[in-house]
Amino acid sequence: MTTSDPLLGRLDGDGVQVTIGPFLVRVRSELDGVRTYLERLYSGFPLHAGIDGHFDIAVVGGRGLHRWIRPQAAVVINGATPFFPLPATLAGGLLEWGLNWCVGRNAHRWVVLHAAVVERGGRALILPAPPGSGKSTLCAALAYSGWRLFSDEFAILDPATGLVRALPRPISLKERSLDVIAARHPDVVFGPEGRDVEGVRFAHARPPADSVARAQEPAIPAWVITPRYVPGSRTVLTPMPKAEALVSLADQSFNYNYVATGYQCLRELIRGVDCYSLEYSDVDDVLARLGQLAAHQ
Amino acid sequence: MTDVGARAQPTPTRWQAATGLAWTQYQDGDNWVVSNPASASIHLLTESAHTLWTFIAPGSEPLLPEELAARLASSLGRPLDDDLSTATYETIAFMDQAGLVRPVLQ
Repeated sequence: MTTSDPLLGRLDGDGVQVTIGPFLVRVRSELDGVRTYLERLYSGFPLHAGIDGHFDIAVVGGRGLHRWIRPQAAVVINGATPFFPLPATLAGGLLEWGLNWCVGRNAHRWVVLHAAVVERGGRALILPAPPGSGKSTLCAALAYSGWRLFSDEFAILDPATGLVRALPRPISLKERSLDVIAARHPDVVFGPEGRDVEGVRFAHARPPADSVARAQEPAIPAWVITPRYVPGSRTVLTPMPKAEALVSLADQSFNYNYVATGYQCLRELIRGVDCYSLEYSDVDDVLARLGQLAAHQ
Repeated sequence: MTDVGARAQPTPTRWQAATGLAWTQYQDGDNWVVSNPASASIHLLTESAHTLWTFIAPGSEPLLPEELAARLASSLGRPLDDDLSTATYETIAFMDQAGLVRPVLQ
């Protein structure tokens, strides 16, 4: 997709198909904010003119008075409206949250984990963690420092091959993480800044172009590292027993019990990787430590 | 013996292992992970908890809690005392809640 891609003119009609990792996503919207968001943050993503797709996401404007007064946007996913309408300024975020909803609930061909994933040398580093752990900050810092971005949100495991699929998308950053990444990487393009329903300041950052271009290249899982941002702490990388890591990974899985061989997939993944817990506060230090880890494999 | 366990008392109930469970142990530790497809849950258990389960694994005779405690003491090579008995009963109670064992109706 380029900033002048004529296919974006279809957004308010039949919509456009965007290839995002293993998914073909049909996006529709009459809102200028969605078009602007796609132009700004989905540069380089393959765009098509069809109307099919794994997921059908429409970001629609508010109805009635909300067309003019405090304009709203709502997301309609495969015909369902899972979220309350939000201010129209959050239209781009709604698109991302809608896609998160789709992948987390419907991608049962794969085992899906709540985890960030980056890759180096064909080997994937999986960072499973609950919200607030600093996972996306660490993922962004790695992705803009030479690691290939797979996802800041999902690990997509193929139970047939044991490989991790890439799902590079805009990286969701919140509060101080926004400032940290913007200061470290002033060339990174951000989408509009907003506040979510909980009042948290957020914005999405454009994924690295190389990660988008190589989105169909899977990787072999090599490390599972559970990160935790602890203010003021030094970087501590501690081996984690594999049994604990398996339970932790299952806790972060959306669907392992819906996939016929989901548990076996997690079990064998853990068998083949090195597992650690990580505490960090200094981004430079943790990048160096993880770089050493990758170099010594 | 487990991270969960209401205060348990020995009962005259005999216990048998549930079927269809998948137990996993890795070379880097003693703990076991058990997956229970029936409840779509997984649990982290100690080596001793797994040993208890094997005493009543499918194909074995159901046992009373006291018998389980005695067998565990023997396998560990230590005397059966109150601590070990209590730990055994708590573990059985936990495994019952988790669907890993089931009472056998007399």
